[in-house]
Amino acid sequence: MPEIDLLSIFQGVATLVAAEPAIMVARIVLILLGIAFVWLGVKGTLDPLIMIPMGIGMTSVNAAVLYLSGSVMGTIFLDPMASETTELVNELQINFLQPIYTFTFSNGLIACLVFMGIGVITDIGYMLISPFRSMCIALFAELGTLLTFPLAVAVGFTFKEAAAVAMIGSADGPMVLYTSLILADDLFVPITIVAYLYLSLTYAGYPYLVRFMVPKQLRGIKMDAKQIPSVSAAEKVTFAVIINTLLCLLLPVAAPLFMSFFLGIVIREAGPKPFVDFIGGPVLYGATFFLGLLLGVLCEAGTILNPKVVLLLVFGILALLLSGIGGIIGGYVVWLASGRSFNPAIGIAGISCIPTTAKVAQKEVRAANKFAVILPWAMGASICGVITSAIIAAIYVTLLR
Amino acid sequence: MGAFKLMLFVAGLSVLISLLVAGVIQLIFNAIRRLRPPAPAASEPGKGS
Repeated sequence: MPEIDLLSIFQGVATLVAAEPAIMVARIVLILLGIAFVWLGVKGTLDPLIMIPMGIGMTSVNAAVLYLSGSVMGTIFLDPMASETTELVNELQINFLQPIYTFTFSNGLIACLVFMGIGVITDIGYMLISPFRSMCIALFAELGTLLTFPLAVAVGFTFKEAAAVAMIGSADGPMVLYTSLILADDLFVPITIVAYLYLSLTYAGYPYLVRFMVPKQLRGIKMDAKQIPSVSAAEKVTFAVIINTLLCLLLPVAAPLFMSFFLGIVIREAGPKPFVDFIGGPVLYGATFFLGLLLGVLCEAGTILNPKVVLLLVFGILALLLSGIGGIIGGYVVWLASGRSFNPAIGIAGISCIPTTAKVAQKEVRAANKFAVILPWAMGASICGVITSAIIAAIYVTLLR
Repeated sequence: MGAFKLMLFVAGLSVLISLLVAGVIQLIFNAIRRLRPPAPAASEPGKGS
């Protein structure tokens, strides 16, 4: 019987033992972190739609490192660095997730599919209650997206990297992915992971910010339901088509995102029901699932050991905190401008994490006054938040690409 | 251009574009409402008109 080396059979263990100490520790930490993500996703503490596939992907890819040829270590999940045509064709035939990564992820298609799905679940009619107020709040809620940029440059990020990091403040996952893919392809994995991780936490963190910044008396302000106009589907389609054309004309670099979002809105209002069901169901949830899975699989120890990741963690939370503060300041500005009849807690909904932040605003307002309904206004601010985030992303990309 | 100046430029431009979008929305909404006023809401049964 030939001599059998057990480590050559169990290569996941062999590569773990043979790796540099830092890589070995990082792999073990990431495996445990992946398990924690799955657990927290199952419990509902973090967003299960992203965290369960991400956690499984992260755990698997860090466990399943093997010897590809000779002493070269790697996995058979995907190779994000493959770019030469021959190399890429080879990888497409070996790595089982390579086709999804190459044809949907690295070109931003998956972000556009998520945006299309968000469009289908978004009622643009809420934005028409008061477009200027909603847009004003949304602009204030971009405080983190703007202020984080010079701060990140000050600590050593390049302009492109700083813009990609600052976009975390927009609290819009697909937007962060899209921007970082274009501006900082060497950092897009950690940036997007940090963004999605923090976005999962906004539902837990923003209520405290609202309670801290808006006294209970103001949180309980009731909004006048008579302000809500009745808008027909034809009118909503007209708005979506015109705004989409205008934004594509002004900022072609973000046209795929604009088109996807407004196409979703038009399909919601005018499309056949099978289209609405298809884009709001399989497309949205399929894209979200593969987005989470690919983010997890991209979380290899080598990628995460980048020293800039710690800074990303700090700037990610800073950007979201500043945006939250900015949004509530925007709420106060509209409160003052409206003769103190506007509920300032709606400001938090200016952050474009649709519909999470709108739900946070409604929940906090309901806790202060069980008769106060602000969801339509909050949804209007959130929709404007999506638009302002796309505008800022497009400006950053246009100026810095 | 320094990072802070660039941030101010991005902020200014995004405010302009966002307000342009809001203005266009408001303009079209008003125009549509002027051309085709919404039908009056139907009265509730039993309450008369």
